[in-house]
Amino acid sequence: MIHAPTPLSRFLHTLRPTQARPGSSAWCLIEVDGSPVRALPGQSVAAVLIAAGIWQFHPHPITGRPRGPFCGMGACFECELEIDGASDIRACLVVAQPGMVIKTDHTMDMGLE
Amino acid sequence: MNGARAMPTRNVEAIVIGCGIVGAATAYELVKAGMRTVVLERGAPNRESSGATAGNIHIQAIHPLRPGQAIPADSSRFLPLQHAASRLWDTLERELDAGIELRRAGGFMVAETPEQVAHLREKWALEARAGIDSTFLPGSEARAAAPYLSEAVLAATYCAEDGYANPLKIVPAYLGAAQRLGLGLECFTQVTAIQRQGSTYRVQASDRAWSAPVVVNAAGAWLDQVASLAGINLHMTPCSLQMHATVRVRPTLRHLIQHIGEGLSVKQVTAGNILIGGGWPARPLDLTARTQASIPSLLGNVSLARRILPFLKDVRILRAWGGPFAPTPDELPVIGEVAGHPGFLVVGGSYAFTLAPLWGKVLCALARRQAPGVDLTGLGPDRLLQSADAHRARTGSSTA
Amino acid sequence: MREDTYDVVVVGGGPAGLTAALRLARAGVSVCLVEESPDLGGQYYKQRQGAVLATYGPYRPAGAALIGAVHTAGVSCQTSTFVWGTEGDALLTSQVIDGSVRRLHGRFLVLATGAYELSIPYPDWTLPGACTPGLALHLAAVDRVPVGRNVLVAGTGPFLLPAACALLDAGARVAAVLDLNTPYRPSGRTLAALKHPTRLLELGEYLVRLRRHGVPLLQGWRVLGASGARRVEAASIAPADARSSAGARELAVDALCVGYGFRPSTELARLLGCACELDPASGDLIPTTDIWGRTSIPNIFMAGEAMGVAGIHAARVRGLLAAEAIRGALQARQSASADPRRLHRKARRLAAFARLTSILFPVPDWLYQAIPDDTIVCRCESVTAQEVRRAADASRHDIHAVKAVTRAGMGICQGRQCGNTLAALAARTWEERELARAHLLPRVPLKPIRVPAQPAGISEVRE
Repeated sequence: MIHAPTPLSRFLHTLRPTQARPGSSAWCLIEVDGSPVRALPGQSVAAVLIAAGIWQFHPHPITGRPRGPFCGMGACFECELEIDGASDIRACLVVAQPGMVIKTDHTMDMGLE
Repeated sequence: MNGARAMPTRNVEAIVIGCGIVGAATAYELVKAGMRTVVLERGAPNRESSGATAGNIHIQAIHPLRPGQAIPADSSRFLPLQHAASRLWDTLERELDAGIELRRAGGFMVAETPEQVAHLREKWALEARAGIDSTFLPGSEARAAAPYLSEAVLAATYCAEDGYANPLKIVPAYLGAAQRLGLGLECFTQVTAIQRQGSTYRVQASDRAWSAPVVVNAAGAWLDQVASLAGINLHMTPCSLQMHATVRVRPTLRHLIQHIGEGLSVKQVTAGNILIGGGWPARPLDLTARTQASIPSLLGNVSLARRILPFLKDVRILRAWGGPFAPTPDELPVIGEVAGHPGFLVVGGSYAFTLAPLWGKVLCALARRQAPGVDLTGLGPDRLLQSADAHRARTGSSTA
Repeated sequence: MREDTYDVVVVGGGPAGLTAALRLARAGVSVCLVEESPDLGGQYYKQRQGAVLATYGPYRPAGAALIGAVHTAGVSCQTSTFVWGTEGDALLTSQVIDGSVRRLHGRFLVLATGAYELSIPYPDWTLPGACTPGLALHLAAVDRVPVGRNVLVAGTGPFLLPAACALLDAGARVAAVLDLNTPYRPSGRTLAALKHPTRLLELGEYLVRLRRHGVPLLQGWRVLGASGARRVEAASIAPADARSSAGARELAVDALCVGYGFRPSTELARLLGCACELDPASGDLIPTTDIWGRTSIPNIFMAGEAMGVAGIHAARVRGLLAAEAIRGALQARQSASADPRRLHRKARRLAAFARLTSILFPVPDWLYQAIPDDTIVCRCESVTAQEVRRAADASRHDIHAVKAVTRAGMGICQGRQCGNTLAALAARTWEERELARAHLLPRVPLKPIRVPAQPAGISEVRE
C-alpha cells in the first residue's frame, strides 16, 4: 500500500519554496522555425515554446487568427505543430529532445486587422 | 381511436411525408406551383439517409454493384435521368438563394485490375450512347490530370460534370425557400394512420390530422411502413450505409474519385474534410435507433481509399457514421402513383440524392396531373406491390 | 490484425487505473494498462522527465512510486496507445506514432478514463495566452514553466487554488484569483466542511500561500473577457452579479487561466452501451454504477474521475474497489490488506465531500445564457453563440440538428471542449436535457486515428 505524506508534513513543506535550479549544462537546444531555443530535456515541447514566449502555434483554418495551447492534456488539439518532420503532433504530449526541429505554421496570415 | 371524430382536421392540397432531400425538393416545387402543402417529418429534417449520405452527384454511369449488392444496377436506365438532374443541380443555388457548396469540378472512376478496366470500357461506351461526355484515360494520363492518384490505378474514366454538394445544406436550402412561400413544416410528427375519405386522404399523427387529395410518401427507409398505413404493401429492401470524414486538410483534392469495382467515393468538402464512402454497410439497420458504424467497413473503406490516394496515409479519420439507405429489390428508383390509390404518390430507391431535384419536379407534375417530362417506364410502384400476408411475413409488421 | 488477450484491460493510466492495475497484478491476474500519453500518471500523477526530474525531483512522489510498483508487478503497459472503438468483445486501439490498429480483449474492463476541464466561453478566449488552470498547473508543476509573467486565474472550483500556488512556485506573479462563487466565506454550507479536516488543512495551505504572496482572492467575481492583438494583454473582470459592465475593471495580464471544474470522460463507457443517468448538479451523463463501480454491463467497471469528479483520494479508493470486485469474480489471490468494508466507508465519506464541493462551487446556467452572441463557442469550427442559439430555435432544441447545421461539435476535438456549452444553449430546459436530446452521441473513432494500410481480414466484409 502506497502511503501519501501526511498533511502536516506537506503543509510544513509549503513554507520552504523550491530552491533547486538546473545547472547550466542541463539545458539543450532545439530549433523552432529555424531559430535556436533553449530547453530543459524532459519538458514538453509546448512548455519549451511558452517558456520562450512563443504562444502562436498555428493559425485557425477558418479565421486565420493565431491559436496556441489551451487544455494541456491532449483534448483540445490547439497545440499541434510539426515536430521532426511529422505534422499535426500535439506539443503538450511530446517531450523535448536535444536537436528537435519544430515548425509552427505560418502559412496563413497570423495577425489580421 | 378515441376522440378521432372530434379532432380538427386541417385541409391542404398536398401532404408530403418525410423531410429528406426528396421530400424537401417536392414540397418546394409544390408550394412554388401554388399548392397549399404540409410536410410531416417523424424526427428532424435531413436526419436520416439524406443527412448521412455522401452527397455525390453521379453523372457518369453508376458502378454496377456496391459491396453486398446482389443485383447489378441497370446503368443504362439511369443515365438519361442523371442527365436531366445534372442540369437542374446547376440552377439550384440561384433558385433557392442559398449556398449548398456545389462543386462540379469533375470526377474520376478508377480501375485497378484488367477485368475492371474492361468494365470501365463497357461503361464508357454506354455513356457515349446516352450522350454523357466522358473520357477514357490510361493510368498515366489519369495521374497527369489528378496527381494524387496512385500507381495502382490502371485506367480511369473522367466526366467533367461529376461533382457533389453538401448534404447538410440542401434540405435547409429547399426548406428555407419553401417556407418563404408558405410551406407548413411539422417536425417530430410521426404519421400513425392514413385513411381514404372520398377523394382525399386523411393523414393522422397522434392527436392531429390533415386532409389532402395528394399524398407524397417520401419516407425513405420507412417508405413501406408508411405505405402500409394506407393499406399499400410495398416490397422494399432498406439497409445501412456508412460514411467517414477525416480532419480538415489543406485544399488537396479537386475531384470526386470513385472506383469501378469496389465501393468507394472520395471527395474534399468546402470545410476541408475528406469524405470517404462508397456503399460499405454499417451495422445492421435498426429503424428505431441510430445506425451504428461497422468497424470492418471503416477499416476496409478507408484503407481502400488510401490505396488509391496515398496522401491519405497522413490524414486522420475523425468521424464515421451510419445511416439508412433504401434501395428497391431491383435496384431501380421507384416513383409514381399507386394503382387504385389516386393521388397517393411514392418515391424512393437508389440515387435519390442525385435525382432529387428532378424527382421534386416530376412529383409536382404528377400531383397536378401533368406530364412528368421524363420517361418513367418501369419505375412505378406497382411492380413492388405484394400481398398483405407477404409483407407481414417479411417485415413482421401489421398493416393498418 | 493483432489481438491481445488479458484477464483485465484497464483503460487510463492515471491514479485510479494505476491503483486497480497494481492490485490486480499483485493478485496474479494478467493486466494490460492502456494510456494515450507516452508516460503513465494521467493528469494528477503526471511525472517529470529527464533533466527536469533530475533537477527538481519527482512531482507528487506517491505517483512515481505507484508507477514504479505497477511496472514491478508485471502489468503490461501500452503507452502512446488509445482506445478508439469497440468490436464485439474487444477494444480497438491505435498507436499514436505509427497508427497501427490492434484488438485488445479483456475478460473484464476497468474504464479509468478520467475527466476533462470544464470551460465556458468568454469574449476572445481563443487568444493565445488564454488557457485552462490545468495547463497552467501542469506547466508550472511538472515542466517548471510559468504560463506568463502576470497571470489571472478565474472560474470556480477547488482546483483554482493549487493552480495559482503552482504558478507562484514557478516564479509567476498571480494578479488575482477570482471565484464566481463565495466558497471560502463561513456559512451554513461551509460549516459542513469541518467534517473533513484533512481536506480543510489542504485548503488552508493554499490560502496561506496566496496570502503570503499578496494575491487577492476575489470571491463572487468573474471574467468578462480577454483582449489583445496576437495574445492576451488584458482581462476585464467584474462582480458576478453585475448587471452591466459598470464596475468592471481591466487587469493587464499576459495569461488568463479560466476553468469551472471538471466533467467526467464517459465516451468509451457510453460507446460500450453502459446505462447512464443524468447528474442533476452538472447536467452530465454519468454511467450508473454499483458500490464496486460495476456498470450495467457485468464485466465493465468504472474507476476514478470518470465515474464522477471526486478527487484523488476517491480515485484511489474506487480503483481498489473495482479491483477487489474483479479479483473476487476471477477468484484470484486474496490480498492481505484487502478490507472492502473499510474501503466502502471511505468511498462514502469521499463521495459526501464531492457532493459538498459541487454545492460550494456550482456552475450556474445563467453563465451560459450570458455568453455574448458574437463569442465563439465551438473553438475548432469557429461557431458563435448566436449561430448555435438560432439553430436551436429553428430545430426545436435538438442538439444533433444544431450540430449538423452549424458544424459546432464537428471539429477535431469531437465536442470535448464545447459539448457542455452546446447542451446548455441548445436544450434550455431540464426536461429537454433529460430526454438526452442534449448529449452528443459518442462516435467511432473516439479520437482521430491514422488511416491504416490494408488491414488483414477485410475480405470478411464482402460476405
